[in-house]
Amino acid sequence: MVAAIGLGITGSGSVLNTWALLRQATSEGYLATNPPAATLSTDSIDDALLERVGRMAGIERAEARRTVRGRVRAGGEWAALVLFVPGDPERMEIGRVTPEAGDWPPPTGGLTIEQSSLSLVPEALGEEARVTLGTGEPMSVRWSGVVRDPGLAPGWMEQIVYAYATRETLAALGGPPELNELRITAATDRMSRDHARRLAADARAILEEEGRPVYEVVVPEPGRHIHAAQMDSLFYTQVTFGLLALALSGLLVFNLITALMAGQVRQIGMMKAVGARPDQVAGLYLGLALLLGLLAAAPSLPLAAVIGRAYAGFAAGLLNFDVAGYPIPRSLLLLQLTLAVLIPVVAAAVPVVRGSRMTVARAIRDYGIEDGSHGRGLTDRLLARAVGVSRPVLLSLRNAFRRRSRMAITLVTLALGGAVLLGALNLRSSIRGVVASTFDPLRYDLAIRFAERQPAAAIESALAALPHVRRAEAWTSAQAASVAGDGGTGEPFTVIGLPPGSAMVSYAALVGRWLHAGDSSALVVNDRLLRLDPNLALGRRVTLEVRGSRREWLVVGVVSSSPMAPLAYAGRDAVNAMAGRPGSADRAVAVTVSASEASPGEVQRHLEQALEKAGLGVAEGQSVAVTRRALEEHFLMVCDLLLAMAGLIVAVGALGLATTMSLAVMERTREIGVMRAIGAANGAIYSIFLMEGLTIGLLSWALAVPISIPMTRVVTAGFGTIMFEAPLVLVPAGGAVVGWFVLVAVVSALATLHPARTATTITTADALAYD
Amino acid sequence: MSATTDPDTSRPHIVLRNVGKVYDSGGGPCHALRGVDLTIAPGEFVAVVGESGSGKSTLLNLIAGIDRPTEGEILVGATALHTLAEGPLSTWRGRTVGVVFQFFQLLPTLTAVENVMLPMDFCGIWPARERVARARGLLERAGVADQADKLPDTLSGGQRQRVAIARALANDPPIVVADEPTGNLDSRTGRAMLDLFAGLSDSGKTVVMVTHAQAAANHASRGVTIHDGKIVPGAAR
Repeated sequence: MVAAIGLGITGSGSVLNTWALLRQATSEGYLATNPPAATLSTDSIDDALLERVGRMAGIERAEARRTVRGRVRAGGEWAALVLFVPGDPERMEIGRVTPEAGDWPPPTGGLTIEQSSLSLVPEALGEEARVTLGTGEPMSVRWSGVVRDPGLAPGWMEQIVYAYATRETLAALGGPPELNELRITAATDRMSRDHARRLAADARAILEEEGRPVYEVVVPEPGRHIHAAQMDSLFYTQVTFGLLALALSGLLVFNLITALMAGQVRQIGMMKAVGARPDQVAGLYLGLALLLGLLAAAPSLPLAAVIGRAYAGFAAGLLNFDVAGYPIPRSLLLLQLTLAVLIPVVAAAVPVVRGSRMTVARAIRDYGIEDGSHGRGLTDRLLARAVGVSRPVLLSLRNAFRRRSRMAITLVTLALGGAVLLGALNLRSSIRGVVASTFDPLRYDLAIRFAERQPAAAIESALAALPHVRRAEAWTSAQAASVAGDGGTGEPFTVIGLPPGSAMVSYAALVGRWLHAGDSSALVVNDRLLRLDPNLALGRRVTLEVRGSRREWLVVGVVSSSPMAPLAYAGRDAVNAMAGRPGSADRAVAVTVSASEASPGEVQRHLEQALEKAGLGVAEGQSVAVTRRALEEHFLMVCDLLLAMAGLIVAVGALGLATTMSLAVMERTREIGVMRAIGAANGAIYSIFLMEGLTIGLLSWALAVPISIPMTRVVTAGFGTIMFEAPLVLVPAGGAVVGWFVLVAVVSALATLHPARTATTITTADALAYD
Repeated sequence: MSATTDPDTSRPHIVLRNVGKVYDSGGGPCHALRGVDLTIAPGEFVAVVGESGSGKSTLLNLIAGIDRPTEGEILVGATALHTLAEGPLSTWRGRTVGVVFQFFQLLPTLTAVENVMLPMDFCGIWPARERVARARGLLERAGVADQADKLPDTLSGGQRQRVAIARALANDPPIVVADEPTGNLDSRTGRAMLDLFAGLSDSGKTVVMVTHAQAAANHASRGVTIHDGKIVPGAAR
């Protein structure tokens, strides 16, 4: 009993505590960084231009920085590096970072690492860091400090080393000297995205007036972290299922206490017979229930606080926040304590009131068990028709329905746990389906991004000469935006340019077709982009703007490619023509051949080294397999949470079943004696109770399967909508239903083990004498 | 005929030698039975008579193997009950002893015929395909064939006791024990029960009945009086 209350409080309390901590940490933590309302990419920003933008009406502050991609030697391997170079790190107010160790701002010749990338860099503070920005030989700098930047996704998750450096350090590394990112914050209306867009448009006008082309304008959702969508899905599932676990365990406890107390009605009658007043009787039993609740709360509340903080710390780490220093609200703790105490007290009140109202004579005669209604219900009549089964089996089946409300709660709890489990497994399978549809059409295994644009022909000939490369292509990309009728541009997206007749991808068109070799102005969009911009529908002629230049395209097809990014595809030459960069490429894809003496990772390293030697500086090399695995793990985190919730609910259900069966053994002690008297051996008694428990368990399986259908639809639709702005395609998990059958059979058998064994230890004499 | 040579399965003697039973109660040990020597021949209808608390029910429980003696020996045929563990006792009892309780003790979720079949399922003496017919036959013999498919809570006290008797005969045991079988019945129904028991004795079964009522005891072929845990010598007929 205490365990049932405790489990419910611990489970739901942990979830609620986690939610409360994360809410505080993320909203306060993220907003405290003063994130930019808009970021504009251009050629260069000098102090005069920055000052002019800063004086603009509605702008609170304007800062400039540069973001450079490169690679850093970490633990003997090259890791992707993203280097942020603020214009004035000492007075950086937009996207503030929190120093955690070492130097901030970084000194000249030093790098300050973002704390979520620490696990990627085994070198300690003060040790050397070898950095290349893709041009020339790697240079040495030092790791000089650690900061926390909650505005970034965790580096370990992205497999990127995020770091900060000064302009002087950047110059020493051979990087471009100009700052090219303008970041602005709004003075008022900070939560309005429309307002931010208007400010960005005004800032853009100033830049263009000053002769600076604007390549990209990013206006994020105000106040929402980069992983806010993921966090929302976590909160949604956490709170829902945590409260569900609490409600179920509460119902279970209520039912069980009511059952236990039912046997006390006679005692209440006896006490009244010798002079006890109703308030004295109520005080005795309700006090007992209160004590029960307090006993349950005593370990559960601290445990829920510990687990809640630990899980919040884990989840916050995923989002690059820190929950340390945030307290669990007292009101939440009080709520948990109230519930722990209230549920048993309310449950005990029902039979206490009943006993108080009965006459003494009636109460004393009340054995609290049979009311003669057995046999009249629908299930009883159905089971009465059961033929061909032995009486012991019939006993088990019918006894399972003897206490219908108690059995129903246990059944529903187990069924709900099973439905959530099946839903989580189906979600996992659907996520794998999305990942498969994203990566299966890719016919290459290695993607390379270059530090600078290079001649496509040079890239392809360099790659073709390498022994481990079976075939390779150079691709280009550009940031584009569609031009609306009024001349304004929409949200930027990436256009990828592939060589004619590329064999490196095989997307099946959802509608229309893929690119043909002779296409000059054909555009294929992915479904994510189409949802973002419905003007890019099949057959439409659209105007895209790239680097200030506009060109008309015909949308010839829609494909399902990356669900995370809005992408378009076109011929490489056409994209380069539009961007004014003929014959160039900024990336390549390759099909590599692993030699028996070299692993794929080593092949990748050899390839990158060969390209570096050929003067083709590599900014990043990514194995498709590694990227696929990382993405899958990213998404499956939500499934793991759902599975944990399912486990919690199943545990509550199993506990309920164990308690139900223990009560059944207690209530039917005399029947056990009768069965022994008429020849039942230990095995027969054991089997009867075991089968009763299994009956309830397997009925819950039958109930869970249909419930899991809408459950699955809800979780897959919710997950897809939150993460990809579209419902996931449902891919049922093969074997999940059978797996749940086996699991629930095992759980039910384990839950019934002890009560069934207890039944066999009761002697015939004791059983028959049981009152 | 010697007590030790009769085969168990047919007509065993019941022999109690210096049997005692002590219960531990809060106020100290309670001697429910002391130094009981008793022999019951096959086919006897014995009424064990005594006041409340005399130990008569304890004696019945020991004979049926429902309880264990603290001292002494209990032999039913060649089986020494005092040496058997709980599990084997249940199995032995299912085949050898039919028990009739004062409060009937029918299982409420089984119909009358299913209650009668239950001991057959536990002991496995009768093939499965014969159990239904045998159970219905026993109910007919007990005079409640028309109640076969009803649940116990829809039957009268007398009908329930008849079903209980049919159940006690399910495995054709050589011994039938009954603890105050008429205690919850009206006098007319009670007399009918006693006639049933007499009939069982006439058919060769050993019947041991506990009662506090002398009138009920008069139906038996022999009476054993028990007082303060001891058999009163000379009170037996």
